[in-house]
Amino acid sequence: MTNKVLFIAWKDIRETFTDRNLLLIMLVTPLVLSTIIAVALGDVTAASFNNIPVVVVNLDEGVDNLGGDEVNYGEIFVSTLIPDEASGDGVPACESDANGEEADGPTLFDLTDARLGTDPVRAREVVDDGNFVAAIIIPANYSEQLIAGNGDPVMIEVYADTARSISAEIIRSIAVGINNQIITGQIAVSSTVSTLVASGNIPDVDQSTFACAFSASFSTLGITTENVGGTSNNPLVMFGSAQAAFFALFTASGGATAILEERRNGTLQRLLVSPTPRLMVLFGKLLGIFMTVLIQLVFLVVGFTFVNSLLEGEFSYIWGSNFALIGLLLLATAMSAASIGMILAATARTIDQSSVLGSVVAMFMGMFGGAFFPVDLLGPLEMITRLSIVRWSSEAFIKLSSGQTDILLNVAVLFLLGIAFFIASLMIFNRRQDV
Amino acid sequence: METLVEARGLVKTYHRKDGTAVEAVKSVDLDIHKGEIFSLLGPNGAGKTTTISMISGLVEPTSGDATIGGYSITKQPMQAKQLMGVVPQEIALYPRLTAKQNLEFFGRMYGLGGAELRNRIDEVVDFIDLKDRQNDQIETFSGGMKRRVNIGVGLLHKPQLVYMDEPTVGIDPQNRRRVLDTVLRLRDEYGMTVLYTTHLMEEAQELSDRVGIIDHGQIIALGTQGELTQQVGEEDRLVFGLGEEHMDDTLLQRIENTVDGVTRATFESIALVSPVEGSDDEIADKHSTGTIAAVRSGQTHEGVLTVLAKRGRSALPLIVQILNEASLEIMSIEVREPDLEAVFLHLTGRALRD
Repeated sequence: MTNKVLFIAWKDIRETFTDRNLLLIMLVTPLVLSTIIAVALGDVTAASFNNIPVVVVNLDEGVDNLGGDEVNYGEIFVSTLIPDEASGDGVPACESDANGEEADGPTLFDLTDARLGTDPVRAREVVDDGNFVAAIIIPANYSEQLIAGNGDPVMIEVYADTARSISAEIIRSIAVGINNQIITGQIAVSSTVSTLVASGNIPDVDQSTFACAFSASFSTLGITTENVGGTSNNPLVMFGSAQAAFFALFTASGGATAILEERRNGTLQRLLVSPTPRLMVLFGKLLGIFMTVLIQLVFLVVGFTFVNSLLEGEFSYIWGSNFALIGLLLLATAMSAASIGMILAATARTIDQSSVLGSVVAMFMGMFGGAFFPVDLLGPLEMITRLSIVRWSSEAFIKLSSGQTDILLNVAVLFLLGIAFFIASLMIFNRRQDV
Repeated sequence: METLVEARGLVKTYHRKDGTAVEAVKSVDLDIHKGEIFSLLGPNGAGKTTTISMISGLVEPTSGDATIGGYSITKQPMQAKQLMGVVPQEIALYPRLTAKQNLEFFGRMYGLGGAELRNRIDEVVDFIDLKDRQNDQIETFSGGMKRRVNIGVGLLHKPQLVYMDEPTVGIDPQNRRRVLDTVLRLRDEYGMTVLYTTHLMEEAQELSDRVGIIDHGQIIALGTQGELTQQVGEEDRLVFGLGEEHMDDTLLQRIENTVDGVTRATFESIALVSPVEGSDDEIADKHSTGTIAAVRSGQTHEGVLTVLAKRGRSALPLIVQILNEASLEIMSIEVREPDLEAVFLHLTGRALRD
């Protein structure tokens, strides 16, 4: 019986991949479209991550160091983000480099628009209101924890707006980096931001001005600087991943509509009068759609890598190096897309209905999933994007490309949606006498 | 005779959106014997396809059951389906796959594989005479070729029962002939049982060992063609062409009274229209001068004697003798036996094609 599921799936895959027009739509169109959008909107996306509003609340009470002087690491933390607080001269330290010359390109201070707050409750409120992307709250015992140096993690609170996840992620990374830098006295921030830059999550940062931001504030900690490497801000990751998921939805919807076409052509009835249980037929169909979408996604992920390499003039891998998680994410995305296609076909009465419904859902999910513009531009409306599997998938791809691995929520959401929709579609198909 | 298919009390009721129930099939009982061609004959919408859909396991009966080779289609559907091959009315094939790939795929759905599947595909492409085109995509085939592959798929696993749903709909006479010959070959050469649905009386008459006539979801008659016509008491119709001869009533009464089985004899003189001869110009001229009317007025007549008899062929010699004795010249004789159309008409008061 299991073999029959595989034969049905294989038949569907063979039919799909012998249709040249379909291949053009499935594989070539998203590659071309994403490249065009990425090239055209590259500057826009870079700009969209400038001046991320963040509020910093320093509750640190400081400690006496061994020399008897009072040290407040919380203030150092704050001064890293808000130069006025450090130098008191009102001049952002990072707008000039070590030689006092204006730096080219955006700096850490361009990246954030940090304001000092005093009340942590109020700080969280302004994030909830959508006025700030994140609140960094430095606890009262921050310096004490650092001085104790007993190996326990030194905690600071980053209260972030999850609806604006990319911007929030940047703030979180910066906070972690600064914290680590204070702890280790090393250039952890540099490497953190380096990863972010390489992933395309933040615009290209001039290495010297970036270093300047820290050298000014952390000279007492023996901060050294290093070059910030990596590629330029890469919208191909953002649009490419979203476009891949968006077109996967189209493919899945088309594949599921083929069930209705088979009913019209009589081949479905022919399958159902063979000694093959209805459930097997539907499993076979789902597997066929799932495999087709998976092949499409793998092709696109590899394809975008090559496109990016062509644009960069040298081979560059843009999706991060955690291949296991990339594989898991591809499976989850394919599963959820295939199941959404199935549920649409199950609820539609006719082929036309299914096609229209599939297009509308794919367009909605694509639009609010970042396939056409960065979802951060939606501001408070960004919550809507959580309805889109394109967003869940794209967000995880972006995280992976920046070297982060915390995509389990995204993968879980995609898998759960996939399983739920598939079970629902099975029930509906089973109830329908005509399918 | 061994029974292969048994249907008992098959009922299918559908419910409309407004909640009203529609009985598409009302308690169908049916036996189909092994090795016979059984035709289910009825007008469109009579319930043929629903009945067969229930027997083939595609549609669940509201009540009742059917067995194929002893396996219940509701309780042991997989075993029952394994014994059956289906040839649907539409071309139920994958157009982008080749003929061979289609056969291979459906063969696997019936559990065939390996050398057995390869051998069966070879046999089937031979049988449907498409060996040279087996590796071509279905979408490149003509209608007749597609129809043959459609049949081939249904035969691949050597089913005991082949169900063919109006397989000649929409095809040209040559391909239709080919399909009908195939059906006969399935019975005669391979000993298969064929369940054939059609609304074409001629096909049912030509192919069937037995016929079931279905109307409004019910089997209204079932048996051999002879049994059916006898059931309804239809009579043979003997038609004699008598040239320009004329018959009087005395002679007609003699036929009715003396020939065994004759129930009625009638004579009518039928007017014959003479053909208009001449070139196009001459005909146009005749039109303009009114000469055609004159030609038409020169009609001749032919006398036609029609005799209704229970056993027409037995009555024929005596009627011929009576006509000879009356010195009437017999120009033609035609014996029209009652057909399924007549049976349907008799049973329903409607023609089959209504």
